[in-house]
Amino acid sequence: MWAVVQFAPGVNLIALAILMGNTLAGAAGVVVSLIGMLLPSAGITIIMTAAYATVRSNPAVQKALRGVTPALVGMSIVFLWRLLKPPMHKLQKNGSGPVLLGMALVLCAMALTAFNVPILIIYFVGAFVLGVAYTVWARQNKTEAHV
Amino acid sequence: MDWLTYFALMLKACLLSTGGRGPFPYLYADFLSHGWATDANFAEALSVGEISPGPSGLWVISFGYLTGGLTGALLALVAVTLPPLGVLLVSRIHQKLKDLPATQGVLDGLVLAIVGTAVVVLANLFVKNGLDPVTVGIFAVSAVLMYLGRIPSIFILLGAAIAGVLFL
Repeated sequence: MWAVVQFAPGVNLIALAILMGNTLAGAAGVVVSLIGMLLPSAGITIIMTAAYATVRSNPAVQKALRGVTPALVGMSIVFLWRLLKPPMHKLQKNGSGPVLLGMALVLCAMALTAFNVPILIIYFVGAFVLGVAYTVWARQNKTEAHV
Repeated sequence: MDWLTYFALMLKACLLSTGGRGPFPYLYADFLSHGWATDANFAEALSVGEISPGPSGLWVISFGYLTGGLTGALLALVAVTLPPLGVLLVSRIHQKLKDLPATQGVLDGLVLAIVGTAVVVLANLFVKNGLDPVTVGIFAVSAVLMYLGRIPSIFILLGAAIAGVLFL
């Protein structure tokens, strides 16, 4: 199920709950899964945010937030590093050229973002380039296997 | 507030991304340009999302509350809920698509683009928060602790908040 979920848009865990609900009880299962997963957690998230909103102008809270922001950035960078590793390992198996292409795509995405190119276009470029590259490499490998 | 545009931007961010933090670059670009959010709102919402129960993607609901009150939160909830329903369609075509090299290439290419985009957006957030030895230190320590994976993220954030109160 997790393999299917990774192809779906949006939050993976919500997609997993939908898929499990659908497998167990069809449309009713989807509704129950969504309510079961989202009602308590979304409710608590809203309550926590509302509570935070009442104290956000407090100078101590502002200082705490200034401390939390770099922590979030640091944690997110590690998360991105973990996200990056599986595709880079796959590219590594095809040689140094594909690794360089992968690195170039990341740098290209960074540059385009810095120049305010719409994110949708950046994502499309990344998906298109590696979609074509993987197809070409698969054909080359097939040809070499025949020879 | 133009609620229709607000919801459309939320839905676009959730629909055209994957994972809990996937909507972040879209929301950062769109909401700042509309003047509906500040950099601080993202740090606030991501923090609440990190410590609240449920999927990490629910930070979008917190972001909705901070930028649009209860209406914003409820619209964000709908925007977060609708795109994953696409998994029902995906499950039908997954068997046909999963072995195509292009499918894996598209997904991997998307990941590389997401990483590149997110790094720049995060760097913006970091710089606008104020660069000084304390914030750089908090960044480095948090990244190392997260990488080692021995301390839950909620405690890393708590430590950063205390460091902020004491030293900033």
